[in-house]
Amino acid sequence: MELKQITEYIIKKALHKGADEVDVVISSSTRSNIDVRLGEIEKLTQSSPKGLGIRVIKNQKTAITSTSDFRTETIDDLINRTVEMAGVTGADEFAGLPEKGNMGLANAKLNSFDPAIAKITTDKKIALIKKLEKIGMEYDKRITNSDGSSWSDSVSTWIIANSKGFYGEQKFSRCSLSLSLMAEENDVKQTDYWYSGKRFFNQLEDLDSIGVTAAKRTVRKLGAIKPNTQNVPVVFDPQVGSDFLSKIANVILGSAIYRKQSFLLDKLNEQVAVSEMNLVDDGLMLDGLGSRLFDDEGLPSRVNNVIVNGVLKSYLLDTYTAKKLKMKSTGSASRGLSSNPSPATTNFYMKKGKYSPEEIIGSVKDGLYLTNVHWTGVNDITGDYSRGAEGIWIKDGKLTHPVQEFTVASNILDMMKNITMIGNDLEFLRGTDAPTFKIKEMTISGK
Amino acid sequence: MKRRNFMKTGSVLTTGVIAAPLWFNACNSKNLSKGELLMPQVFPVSKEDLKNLINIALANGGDKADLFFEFSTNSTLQMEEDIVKNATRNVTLGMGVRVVKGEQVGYAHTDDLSMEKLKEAAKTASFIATTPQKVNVAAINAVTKKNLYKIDNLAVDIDLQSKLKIIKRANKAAKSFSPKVIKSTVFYMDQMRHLMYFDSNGKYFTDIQPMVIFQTSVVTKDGDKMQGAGSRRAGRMGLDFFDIPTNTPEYIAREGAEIAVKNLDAVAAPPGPQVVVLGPGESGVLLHEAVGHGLEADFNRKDLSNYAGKVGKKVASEHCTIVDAGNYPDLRGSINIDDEGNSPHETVLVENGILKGYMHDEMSAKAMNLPVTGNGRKQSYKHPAIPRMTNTFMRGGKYSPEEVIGSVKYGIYAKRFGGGQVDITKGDFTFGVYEAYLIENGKLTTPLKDVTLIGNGPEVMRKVTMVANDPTISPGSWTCGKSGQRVPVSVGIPTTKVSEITVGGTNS
Repeated sequence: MELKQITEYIIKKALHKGADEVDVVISSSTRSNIDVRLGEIEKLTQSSPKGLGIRVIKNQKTAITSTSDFRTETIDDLINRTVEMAGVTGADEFAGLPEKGNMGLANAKLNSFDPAIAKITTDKKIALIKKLEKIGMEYDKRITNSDGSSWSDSVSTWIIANSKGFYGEQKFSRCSLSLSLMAEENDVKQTDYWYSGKRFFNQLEDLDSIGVTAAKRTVRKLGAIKPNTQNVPVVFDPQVGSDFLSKIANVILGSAIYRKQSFLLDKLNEQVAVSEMNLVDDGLMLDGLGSRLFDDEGLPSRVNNVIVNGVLKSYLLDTYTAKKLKMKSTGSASRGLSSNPSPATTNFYMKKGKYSPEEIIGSVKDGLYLTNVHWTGVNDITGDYSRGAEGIWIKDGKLTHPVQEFTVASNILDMMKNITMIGNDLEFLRGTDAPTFKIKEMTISGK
Repeated sequence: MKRRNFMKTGSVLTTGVIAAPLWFNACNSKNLSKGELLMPQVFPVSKEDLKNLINIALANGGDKADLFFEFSTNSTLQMEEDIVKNATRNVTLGMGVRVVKGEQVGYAHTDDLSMEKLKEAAKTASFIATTPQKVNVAAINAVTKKNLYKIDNLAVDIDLQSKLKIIKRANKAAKSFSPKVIKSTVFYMDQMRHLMYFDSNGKYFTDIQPMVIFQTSVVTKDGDKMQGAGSRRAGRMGLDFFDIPTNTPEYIAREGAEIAVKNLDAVAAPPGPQVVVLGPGESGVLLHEAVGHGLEADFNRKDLSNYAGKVGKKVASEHCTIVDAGNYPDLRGSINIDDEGNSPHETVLVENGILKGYMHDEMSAKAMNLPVTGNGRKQSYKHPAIPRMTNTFMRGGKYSPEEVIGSVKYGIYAKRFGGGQVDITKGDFTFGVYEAYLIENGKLTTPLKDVTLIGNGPEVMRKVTMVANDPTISPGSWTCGKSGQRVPVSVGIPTTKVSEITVGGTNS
């Protein structure tokens, strides 16, 4: 059977077996991954995984099963099991598929699939990562070892269909190059990495740029010292800024709100950040890593303005959390084959500001340029933020020496109200992206 | 895993969970408890098929090829707002084939066990090697394995109603703990993995690995203040897991609720270097991060670990003896046999402060010309085995826990941990504490807010000044991630005093 026929078969059969509502998700993909280290192939992996998930709702009770075995007899058995399991769970008045009139595909061009990726030969991939590693290794003689240069790609089809007549199918591709290096000086070893991941092969950062960035990020850590314990201004580089946004992203989801696990609970339409701060979740961004035509319940993707001029304007909701909170879905449903839909971000970013990164660093007399953070270290309920950190010390507006083995701490609610400069260097690299920005004061715990 | 994640990471697949194929439904897993050659009922391949696949995998040369068949069932139940909102049942079925040539690996896997797809995977893996050779596959030789977990009463075979009762008990206990508890969530999961391995040396084994995971979490509120906390348990057991007095649903639920209520009054921890007393059990996260990862032999073989070349040297204070032992009954990190068919045993990593050795898989043991240690593990058939920890813990010392705490004038007592991470090359580790107290004049006083601790592995281990006589292995559901693979582990430590760790507080 074709994939679309499989969805039709399952929906029809499950309804016949007594389900009130059904939806089916199918994922089918081809993947390859190659690691090279010190010029030799270290690992070569290939696979073509597939799977489908069946969700049944009966008397407001939900059950989900999934399989990679697409034979009819297996699917028949699975449908029976799912309907049976839906008998033992609890009735939830808010369970159910979206209203029919809400479903559909967005009318947008997304560039989510590059047919060229499937045609790249293994030899070419190997040649690319060997060259990438060579560029990084040769950049500085203090780079003495490599943790590997890697290629990965995937081409996948994602399908959602449900018993209210929705059918959506979208193809995605993804490829990435990465390099991880080690540098050594005075018996201290340091590592760092850089990578580029895109939906289109020809949009990847060029090899020289990835290799040199990985090398620079590694070498600049040499000679790191532990800073003193003190309160100072902190400049977040875009990578750590992305991590910061991901912590905010966790608590603007409807699931966090109705569970009361959010430091932004009950703050809708309040000024939660400085007026320069604007956060957007854009499911329709051209070339975006999180872009899609429909969400994982079949609602059209859209652009959601979450924080506008510092005011919290919207949470991100799927159908269930919207009903719980007496709001409307924002088209943010996301799910795996074997999990209930729940809201998630797509392409989440902080709008750029007017300052160059140099101006921001230049404005700091004595402070920290934060380049890496470690461990989750955030309490979603209180907003308390305490992270292992690495960075470069700023003295009189200039980057001076690297610092390591310390923590940065504050509370995210305070941090959002103390962002004093936002950079103009926003790039869409990760799916969650921020420009460089400065926070007026945080506690550094070191010596 | 959410679709968004898999698209982001690229190398991780979502189709790990699939349903039981029909040919398995006929056989109850109880009948398979004798193991061994009943496995063909689970995996429809003959001995001849296995040999054929190895022949295809080694057609282009290579030192060794192995086949790893896996069939796993996972079922979950989650209760929230007094409603069991969802039940899931998912099964993983597949085969991974590896060809090893020197330190190079060709790997392919398939979730379709038809002979055609199995052969295709073997052929794909063979491309790592380029010098065709004649293959002699050794005769099948079943290796002996330990018997560390009972499989005569798998949770996966128990009816849903019995599992629902356990969840409801926990939910009730959490909610009735205090009027300050305003939300309660209970999560239950059981898992059963059937494994079958065969390699070109003739080594063959099968194993059935059970697991139960139970987790409660609550949100508490007092006036304007809110907090959250939970408690997690896991073990390689059936529902008898919940008969252990410290694992009853009520005990686990109350434990989490108690922390969330206490933390309502928590204050910010003092920043900077502090004396830290690590509570018994969960603080073993520190060993896992500060020592364990750096002693996994792949990082040492590649000279990427800060412990590389330091065997025989002092890497910790004389109070520290640290072992990795996968051979304890029922623990989450225990294994009857590792994923390359080698027996787990107690490996002394550090003895009285001196580095004794690393944890190996076959590739690192061969490259470093050392014996294997039974640490070759993989997340599933989709991944090749690499050196991984099992149950990693520190042996007990001579002091009583009261003496250790009593010796501290001002410091921090760290009791429960969310987890941690480490930079293996430099050795800097970070870990997150969610239950901690101030120690003042030898007594535990004010509860402290969530805080991150940071230090350098060898430096912190040299600052261990007292170790108590209460060695404890945490019963928590620890999962270790490395190179994109997650495996279950256990951690453990006695009450331990460290003269200085940097505490990521804010109260300056």
